[in-house]
Amino acid sequence: MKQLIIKPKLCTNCHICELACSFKHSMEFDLAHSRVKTIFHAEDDLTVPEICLQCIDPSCMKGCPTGALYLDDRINCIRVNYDSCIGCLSCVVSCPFGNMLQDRSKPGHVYKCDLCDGDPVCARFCPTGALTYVEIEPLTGSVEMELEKVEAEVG
Amino acid sequence: MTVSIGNIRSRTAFVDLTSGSVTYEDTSPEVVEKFIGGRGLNAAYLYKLLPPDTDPLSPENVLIVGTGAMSGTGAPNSSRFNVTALSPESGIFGDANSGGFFATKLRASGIDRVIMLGKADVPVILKVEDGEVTIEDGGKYWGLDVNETQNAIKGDHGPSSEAICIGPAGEKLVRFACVMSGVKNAAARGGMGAVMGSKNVKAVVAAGGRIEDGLVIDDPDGFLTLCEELKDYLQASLIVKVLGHVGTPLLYEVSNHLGAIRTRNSQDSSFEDTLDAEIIHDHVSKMISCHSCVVHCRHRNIHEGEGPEYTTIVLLGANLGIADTAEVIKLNNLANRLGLDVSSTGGILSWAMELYEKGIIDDSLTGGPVKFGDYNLAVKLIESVANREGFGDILAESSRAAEKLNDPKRDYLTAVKGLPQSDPHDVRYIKAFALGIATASRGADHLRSRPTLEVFDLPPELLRDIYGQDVSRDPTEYDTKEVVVYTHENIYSLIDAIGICKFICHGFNSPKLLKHEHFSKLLDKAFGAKYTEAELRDVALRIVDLERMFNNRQGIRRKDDTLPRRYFDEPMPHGVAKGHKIDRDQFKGMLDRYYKIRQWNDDGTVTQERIDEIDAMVDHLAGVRT
Repeated sequence: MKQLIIKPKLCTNCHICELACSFKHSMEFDLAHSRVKTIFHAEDDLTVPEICLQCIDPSCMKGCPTGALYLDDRINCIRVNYDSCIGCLSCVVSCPFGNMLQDRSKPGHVYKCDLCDGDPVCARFCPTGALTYVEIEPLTGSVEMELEKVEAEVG
Repeated sequence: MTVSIGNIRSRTAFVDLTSGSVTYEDTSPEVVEKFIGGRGLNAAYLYKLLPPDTDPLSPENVLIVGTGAMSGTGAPNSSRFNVTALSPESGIFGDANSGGFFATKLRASGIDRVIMLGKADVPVILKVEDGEVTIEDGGKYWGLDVNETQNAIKGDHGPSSEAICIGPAGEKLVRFACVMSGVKNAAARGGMGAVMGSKNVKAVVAAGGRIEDGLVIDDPDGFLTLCEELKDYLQASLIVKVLGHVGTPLLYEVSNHLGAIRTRNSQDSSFEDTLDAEIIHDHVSKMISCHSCVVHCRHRNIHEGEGPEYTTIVLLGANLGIADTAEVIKLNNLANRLGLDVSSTGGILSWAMELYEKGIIDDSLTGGPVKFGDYNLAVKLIESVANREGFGDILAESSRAAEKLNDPKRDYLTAVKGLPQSDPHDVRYIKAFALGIATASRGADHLRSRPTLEVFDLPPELLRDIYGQDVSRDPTEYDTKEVVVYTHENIYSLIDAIGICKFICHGFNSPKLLKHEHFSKLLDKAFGAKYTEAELRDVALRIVDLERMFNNRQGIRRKDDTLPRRYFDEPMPHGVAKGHKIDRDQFKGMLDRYYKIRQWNDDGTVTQERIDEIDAMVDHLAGVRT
């Protein structure tokens, strides 16, 4: 199974992921409509592309009173069934990462990363490898060892 | 119309600051077809709207902020916009190009070009949101430096807003004040910040738009696929990788080895290795990028700023005799905070330093020693220029300070047409480069042509492909260099109209990057515009001719297409370039041939037939006044 991998250290803050995402989903070049947001943290000199992590135990899904959020297990992606969604925004307040979004021009309309149905445009456009969509190996060692591997890779 | 322009959008807002009224027009399709956008349409509007005999710092000047046709679309490096007006520094065509994040946000806010007319009574900012421009009180921002202004605007208008602003230098009408996008990207040249200050406009804020304010893309799937292909194509290029690694300072070592680094006001031509890219990099915390960029050549430095570029490390380093890496980067940050063009700042300061050392000016004018190699003095001078205090008030006049500095013929100033030279390269060695700064439409500037491919010793067949004929591979040769300059000037005017960065443009550093065939495809997939490569070449010629027509109207003739005296009279002292200078007769011959291929008259004017042709095109602009 492929997974979206985020490596903030490689992000140069060019925003192309946001522009591509906005265009792909809303036909508009406006970062305000993107499912991914690059957030600059000045104190760490780090720009983090924030995007749905497709949690194993998703708070958004637990917060939803109508079961409108479901797991699309073909691509391991949490999706919104708009027929069931009542626009209560519970999922928006439930997500601890702020990755469930609401449309400012359509009150009650929520949206999130849908992994572009298995070919995420943000990863396709990322020029530095900060966002990639790749086959992942199952974890073999401890979390610390895995982190060391990533550190060694991105420097 | 002969070319279908499809959906290319050119929504233009005319802001009359005197009356407070704002009107809008979609630029007439006939004019968009001929000039595409960005620098091209800005030039057309300025040519049409500027009244005769205008003082550049009077309310009659016209300040135009315009995005390119592809700006903000997600095409590679499509972050560019142009700021255009009559230059208060040179008195001719003033036009500066910048990247950053502003252009994308401006277009998403529903406006592609803002034209500022008249003058506001009190300091204001312009806010662009949901397809409309409003004039708001800007008093609280007046007096703030660039970083403070940008932060305050983000605080007031939301973190996703993007602004261009002026610093204290623009407010004080320093003739080389720039317009800043973010804290480092500058629409630097020609004093556009002083024009903005003269209109009492502190900033233009793009706050966002509705779905209907966005650009309409003709073939969404095809466009996304094309952008992705171009991204991959560009990222395979070595020069893109290298620029992304250390940025433009990589050129320092090359020029220094050649013996062509402008040092101590060009009295010397080689300098310390403390400004080598690798050493600069010890002061860099990260490489960052402009919108949609595949290169990421901008540095965030560890001295609370962004940069430095190659231009800055030389103009504020070697050129001032300052070698300490940290000090040079701090001068870069200071100039950016104050909103000063680093090229003119360095050029004017070094001019004064040489004049002082030669005894042409003394303490009675300067109020104390003005010498090379003194960081603290440079800081003091830069601050006094931005605030127009004491001797700084004289320097703030740029090349116009010649009489007061007792150098009326500007014998010691490295400038053309009143604009100090930007590129750190001493052009006495590369003859095409020399012609390029002499003919550039905004004065001594490298970003109009920068013909340097020949130093790479490319194979003849590749040169033929680039220049359309055989050209000399020897940089010191004068023959055929008019063709080299002509070709580069043309493609850069086009890419400035399209709104894409020159760093991924064919011919800038490599013969393998984006060129006409790519531009043609991008315009087609994005907007359904059907330009052939030949038609794009025509657009380029038209922009160069129009800018020349503007300059002719301001009095520019053959006599002005020349070089600083030193480049003709004094041989270069060091390195590979040792002994080289520009031969007056050879230069005249090169200029003769240049006019010939441009089809201009011998006196450097555009022919009446061509003027009539272009006048008829520009006449389609509705405009608000003539």
